[in-house]
Amino acid sequence: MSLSERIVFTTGSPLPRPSRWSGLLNGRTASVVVMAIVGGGFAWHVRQQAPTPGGPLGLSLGIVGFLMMLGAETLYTLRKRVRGFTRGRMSTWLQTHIFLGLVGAFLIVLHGSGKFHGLAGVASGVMLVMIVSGFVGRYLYTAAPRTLDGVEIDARELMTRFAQAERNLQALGIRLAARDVAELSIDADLPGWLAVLGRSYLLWRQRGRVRRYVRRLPLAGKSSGVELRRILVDRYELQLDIRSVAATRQWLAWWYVLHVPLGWVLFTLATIHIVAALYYSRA
Amino acid sequence: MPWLQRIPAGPWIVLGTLFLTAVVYIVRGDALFSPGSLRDMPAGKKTLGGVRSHAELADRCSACHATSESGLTMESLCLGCHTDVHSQIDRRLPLHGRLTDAESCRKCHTEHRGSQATLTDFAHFDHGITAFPLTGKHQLTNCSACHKDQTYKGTPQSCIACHAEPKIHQGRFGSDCAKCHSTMTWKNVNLTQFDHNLAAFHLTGKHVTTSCVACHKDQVYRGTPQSCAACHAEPTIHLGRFGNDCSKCHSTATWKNAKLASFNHDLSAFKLTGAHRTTACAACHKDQHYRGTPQSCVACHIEPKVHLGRFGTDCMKCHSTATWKGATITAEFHKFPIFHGGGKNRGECAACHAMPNDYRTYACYGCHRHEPEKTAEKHLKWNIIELQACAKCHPTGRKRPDQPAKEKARSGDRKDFSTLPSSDFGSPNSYQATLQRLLLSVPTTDHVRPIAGLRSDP
Repeated sequence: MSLSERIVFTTGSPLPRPSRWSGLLNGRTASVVVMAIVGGGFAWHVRQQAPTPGGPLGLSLGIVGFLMMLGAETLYTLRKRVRGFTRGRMSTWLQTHIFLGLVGAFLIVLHGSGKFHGLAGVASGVMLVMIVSGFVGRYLYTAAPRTLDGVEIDARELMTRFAQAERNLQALGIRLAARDVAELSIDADLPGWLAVLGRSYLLWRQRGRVRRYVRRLPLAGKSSGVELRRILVDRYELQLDIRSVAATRQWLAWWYVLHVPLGWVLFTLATIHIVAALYYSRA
Repeated sequence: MPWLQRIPAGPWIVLGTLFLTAVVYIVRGDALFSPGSLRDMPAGKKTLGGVRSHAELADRCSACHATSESGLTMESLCLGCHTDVHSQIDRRLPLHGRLTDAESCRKCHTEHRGSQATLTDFAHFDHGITAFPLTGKHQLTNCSACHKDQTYKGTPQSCIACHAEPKIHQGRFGSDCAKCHSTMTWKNVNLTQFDHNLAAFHLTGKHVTTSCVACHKDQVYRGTPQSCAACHAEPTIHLGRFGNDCSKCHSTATWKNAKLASFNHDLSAFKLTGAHRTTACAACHKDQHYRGTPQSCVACHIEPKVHLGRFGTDCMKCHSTATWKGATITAEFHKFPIFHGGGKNRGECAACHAMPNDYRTYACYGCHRHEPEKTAEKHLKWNIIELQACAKCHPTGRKRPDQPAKEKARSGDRKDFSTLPSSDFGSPNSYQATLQRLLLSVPTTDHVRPIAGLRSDP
């Protein structure tokens, strides 16, 4: 079998998914850079004058932070919910959501000047819980198999792709013995939540097993070994996707129940805080 | 759980949140909006605005924060209670009355930082408006270094309130540090107003006008030696004899006019003995000139006329420093053997010089065989008629002039004439005069043919 023929086997591979951390890294890297710059400036200002939430700087940070948080909450939701709003890829909007959420929250914390008291303190606490929740949501989001456009793939499609992977294996002339099947497949009793949370570890462990298995086979050339390893690892990953897809979707549903209402609570409290501040703002 | 996502939760959550907030507001009042605890440390029993501390206003935001419809400002609310500050501002009195933006209370005073927190932030406080402007190192000093326990009112302004007088001052220089020190550093001292007489080493004489650095090298004042020798090397004229206690003879006014009352002249090369001990210094040291004073006698004492220049300048041969009156004479000057003859009067002046106090005359007659008649008889055959000046022809007391003295005085034998009366000195009959004439007498060879009418001696 020539290499060009083997390319056909890619249809049996798992769906192309963004790296679990790549989107977050992009959004996070931008956030870290901006936060470092703003934080440095704020630290310099603190050396000159004690910060106050109602001071020129504190007030500016509060306004900008609130607007960023508002943007983080509304823009991504609008992209998801409004049918006619299809501009940009969902992954890009997600990274924007992460960037605005992280930096906005950071500015709000600076605006509070380390105070977590009263209604504003409660709002800040809710905001921090939202940030943690956002990190969890991001992990669950990337754990669910999707198309390049971010559309989730259901279990049936995953089974089809797994069957194609099995055929690719047979086309290579590999027939897995019963003991090899146990070694190269996921455990029959692997729980769905472990398939989600332990995905990285399981894949790392399986790569080692596949390497040892291929080494035992009398293959003609090096390229055949590489191809076989890729097929076997993709097959294992498809098995993980099939096992975890149900659990991932369930968790995502629960996550929405927490994350979205937190957003409503946060913006309600923030609005009350802003109204009160404006009411007593006469200098 | 698709059913869960289908519930329009947003409005309900908003309403629920508003409801809960309203409940808490009813229970806690305005404290709900407080960003932090208010200071709860009453300044005293006195109340301002009906409260003893800001903490009592925790549930009344509007007590300090002017609402939009009130038409007031936050500063007006502050000054409404703090009437003392208001009065300071109105009368332009310290402290607030000196501030350019006195009514911007929040520039310095911040609340909601905790019940124990300080209300005042001095980061931008201009200390220059106070009676004690900060200069030098004071600008870098921590506020609490001077304002103990965050008490600002009545902080003492004297240096010693914060700075103890250092030990090196030994309690001499008082507490007006600014006379010599600046706030820049303790080290570089401005001594233009420094009273050196407060120090252990009082400045007198020339020291008053001496530059500080002449004694205090590199502006180091601590441990400056106080001995003269530390700055002044002993002059070579001292020949290393007089030690380092310069003040025994010298004052700080000048080195020249040395005070010699306590000067030990015996340390010099010319020890004072006899009458020199009581002689005034100026008698030898003209114009208080001590350097190079000659040590010879003739430098001060001219040779008396009676010496006729015969005896040289080595006065000490005959005289002592005790007195000029008594002289010790030797055979060097008394050509006639002093110890001529014998008997009990041997060596006594009166044995020959019968006339008291007249040593110019002598008489050989009256002594043993010098009888005038026999002598005249003996000398007649030689046609010698001058029989009074025996020593002319018998200078050694022997029969013939060339005979040596019978009892020759040994070299170094001295006859002490210290008992001679003082009136003899200089008188025509004094021993000195006699001796002079003897020395000026004609040569002994002339006695063979005496010239008629010649008087050998007066």
